[in-house]
Amino acid sequence: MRKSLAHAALFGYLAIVALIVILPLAYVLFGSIRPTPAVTGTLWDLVPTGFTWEHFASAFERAPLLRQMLNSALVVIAQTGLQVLTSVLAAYAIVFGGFRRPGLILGLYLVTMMIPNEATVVANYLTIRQLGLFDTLVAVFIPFAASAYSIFLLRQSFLSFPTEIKEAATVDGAGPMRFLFRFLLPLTKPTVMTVTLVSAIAAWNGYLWPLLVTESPAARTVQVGVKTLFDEADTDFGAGLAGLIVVSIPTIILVIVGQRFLARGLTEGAVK
Amino acid sequence: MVDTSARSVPSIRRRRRGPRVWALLFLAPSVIAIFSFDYWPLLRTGFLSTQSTNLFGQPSGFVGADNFVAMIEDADFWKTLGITVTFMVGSVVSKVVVGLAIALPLSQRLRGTSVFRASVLIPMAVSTAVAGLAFRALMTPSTGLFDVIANAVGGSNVGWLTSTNVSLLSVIVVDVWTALGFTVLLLLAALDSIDRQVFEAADVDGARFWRRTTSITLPLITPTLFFIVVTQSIQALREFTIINVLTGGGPADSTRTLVIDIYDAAFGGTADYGASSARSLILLVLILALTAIQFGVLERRVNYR
Amino acid sequence: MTHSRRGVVAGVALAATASLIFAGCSAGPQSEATVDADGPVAIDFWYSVGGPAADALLKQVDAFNSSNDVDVTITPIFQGDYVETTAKLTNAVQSGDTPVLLQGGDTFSAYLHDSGLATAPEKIATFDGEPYHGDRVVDAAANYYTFDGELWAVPLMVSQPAVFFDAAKIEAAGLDGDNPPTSIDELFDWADEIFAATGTPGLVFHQNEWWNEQFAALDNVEYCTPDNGLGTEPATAFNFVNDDLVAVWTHFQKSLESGAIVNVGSDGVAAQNAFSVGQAAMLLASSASLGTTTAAADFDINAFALPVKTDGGGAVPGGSALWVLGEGHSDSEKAAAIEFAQFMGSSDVQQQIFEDTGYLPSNQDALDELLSSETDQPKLALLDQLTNTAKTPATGGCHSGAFGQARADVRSAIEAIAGGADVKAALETAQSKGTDQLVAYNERVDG
Repeated sequence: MRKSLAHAALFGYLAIVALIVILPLAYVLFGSIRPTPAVTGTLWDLVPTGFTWEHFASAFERAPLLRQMLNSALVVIAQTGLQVLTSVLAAYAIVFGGFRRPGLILGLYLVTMMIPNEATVVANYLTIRQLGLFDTLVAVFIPFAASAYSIFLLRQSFLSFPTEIKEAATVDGAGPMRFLFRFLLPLTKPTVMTVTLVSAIAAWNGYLWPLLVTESPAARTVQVGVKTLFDEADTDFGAGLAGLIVVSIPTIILVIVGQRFLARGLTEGAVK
Repeated sequence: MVDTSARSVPSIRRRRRGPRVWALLFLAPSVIAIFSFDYWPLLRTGFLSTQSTNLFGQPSGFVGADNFVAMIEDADFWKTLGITVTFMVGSVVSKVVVGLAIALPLSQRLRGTSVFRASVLIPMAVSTAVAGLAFRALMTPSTGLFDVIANAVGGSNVGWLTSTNVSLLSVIVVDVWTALGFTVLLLLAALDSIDRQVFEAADVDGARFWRRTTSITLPLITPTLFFIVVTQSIQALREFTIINVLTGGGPADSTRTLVIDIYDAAFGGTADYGASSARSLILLVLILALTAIQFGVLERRVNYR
Repeated sequence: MTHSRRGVVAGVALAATASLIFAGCSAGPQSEATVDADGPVAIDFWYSVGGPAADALLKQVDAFNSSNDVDVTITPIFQGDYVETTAKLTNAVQSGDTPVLLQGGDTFSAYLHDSGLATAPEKIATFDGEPYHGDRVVDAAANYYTFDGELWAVPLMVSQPAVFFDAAKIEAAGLDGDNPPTSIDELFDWADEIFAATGTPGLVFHQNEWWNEQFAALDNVEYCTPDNGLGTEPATAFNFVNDDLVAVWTHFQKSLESGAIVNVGSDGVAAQNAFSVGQAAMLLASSASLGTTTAAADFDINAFALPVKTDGGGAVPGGSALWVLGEGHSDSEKAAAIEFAQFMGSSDVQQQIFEDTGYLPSNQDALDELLSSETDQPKLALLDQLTNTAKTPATGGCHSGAFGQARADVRSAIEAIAGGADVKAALETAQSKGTDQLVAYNERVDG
């Protein structure tokens, strides 16, 4: 008896927690579909009280959200692609490149993890301005072409690759590229997938940097775009809320699909 | 028995010492990237910190250590540091406490908890900017849900984002929410990996839950706790999005952390890249010091199995 | 000295105009400076308003783009509020990436003027040879943008604060909108009475330094001296603290605490929303709130002018203006910019903006026409307030390039007052800090 009481209490507690966690998104969702006023300033805002598309229409009018989402998608593809590519190559070179002190080279990368983007943001901004890349998508992803974290993870993974297979392949006459693509990557696929997903999320999430280097609405990524939309919508609150929903759809889908890899990616670096 | 190690390869093959050419080529892209966007900007930041700009944004020459002197003499700078540290400590402590408060019950292997495990992933399904804006809506004065609830339970408008007393707390709340998925997932993984037999050996009476938790469970997951404290402390020092979206550093600079200060000095209207760079170097030093301290001090407390 | 700075800019503009005249001469008998269109011109326009105000503005931009016969296309880009837009401009200066058209907030006019980036509208060579004339601009609206007797920007959206109210709610407290209060203190009395009688808070407004300026101006107090910076000498000190002002903010503090005034912090949008959903009976806000509240509220909106306590006092008309930042831009871009400015400043456009938003017309013809044809109560009240505003230095508002920064100090003071701090001390601290900023700014501009 006591056990089921404890269980019930536990479930109750967890249910309340779940509701609290969902609250912000539910509030935004219900507001985005509620006919004007989107927010009534009463407890009714906690539940859906009507339906309308007007705020979504207003949101798309105020900001080129679709274009901005496309921009973000392009940035994600470019940034993730670059990071994965350069990291795989670098980690491969570190592990199999025959360096006398591979640790030193790895260290060169790891040190950059100590240099936060936020501290070099002004210098990088000036670089972009001087290169004439201001207000372009290239400016958004190019500083992140390399990822020390990915190199670190991949290097760990490559290290555990069995040397016998490597020897066999070398004897067979396989060059570095062939070995990489035919043997190494297929066997370390989980780590590569993890690195890809972590990079993609970071690229999608980027805010400070795109805020600095983009200016026109058509060149903005969606994180900055939705914040600008919120600011500009001003008293047209519903439009801001609708914008938030639109922007969240891709990531919600992504998380549902990529749950497993997410959990892995986080724990891989944590548990020793 | 065939010795397949490298040592058994005949000396003819071992003529080549050192890195292969392709290895250097493979390293090139990432090395160019980190030099262009990490090392060189670091140097440039140092250089910029010795420069000044005029009122209208034009650079106006070398001023040596003036920016640093001005910064140290500026009472607002120390206030900013205080807020940064307060935010960091408050944020990390809250994340650990709230994370445990959710992960510990969730780790009880009971039927039906998997749906709750999924619900905790929700904060990861939205970007930081979106989360910040959602809370900005909730915390809107008077008409936002938080104030509506406050009034409904007999209180009055809490200036979540407009009162200097509450603003930092509000920002921390949002920070904790966005990190929930990450924190709880990590803790769950660590808790799940604890061998159940450890508990069976100890007294499992429900009344001793706290005792069990503090003397057995927590020590067993200290590596994960350590990891969370380190990563979230550094993250707190770097946090920009949430504060920018919620308060912009206000009200009355009550949520102005060092990163916000760096941004404001450069892009807040005065284009003072010198002052901004001086503060950037301070941020760098802080993060390095923090990492060193945490690895030095906390590592000793971490139990390894 | 700001004089020599202006002198340099004026000299350059004059020389440029002179050379243009000579260039134009070769094209035939023309007495004014002309620029050849030479194909389509596309220019960027940085603007700073949101919500319905942005809707109205963009509607006009679209109208201009589709109707102008000189093949000019305006690309509007939202840059944030006036503070953010000016900040971005400062950053763009170094890389030479400034826009040619900017919507500048009223309090930034001295800064924009001192920056050397702007070109006075009347000095810009146009496509048709007809230069811009500022003589149709409403006097009160031109105040913020006039330096040395010359107009430096085209007033775009004129905003003057007013009190909006829900007639039903104030009547429930026995008060009458046709007999408005005669001072701010009395307005707060009304708020207290409404709260006591009905349980609904009587007033809501956002805690912002703008109100400090308005309250002082209503009392015919010069916010900064000498002459609010409108004379030949630049402003050198702030001087707004006096017993009346302290009394007003003390009353505010009490009413805030009792709940008679809704506390929305510094959030102007929240203030409008709170009023629109019925959480307060009256709203103290810019005239532009007429548009937003009408759209969102389900009751009729009424308005009355801000109570003028002392003769010669009045609400300061501000808002925003179109600045042509000619520095670094070609003649055709400048001509395109002034073409747009002429369009936006025209009677028809100004009337439409007023109808759409509540921003007052900056064009005298528009104002005259509206006064004779308008029947809507709140709109008439707003128009009358603009027309009846006394023309004194006090109602001109403080002019200084340092104003933007000094205002932040006042904002902190008001937030502190809302939090219970000593009113006189807070205001005096803000005043002295602001004066320091003024002095430092003047030194930097001179040096």
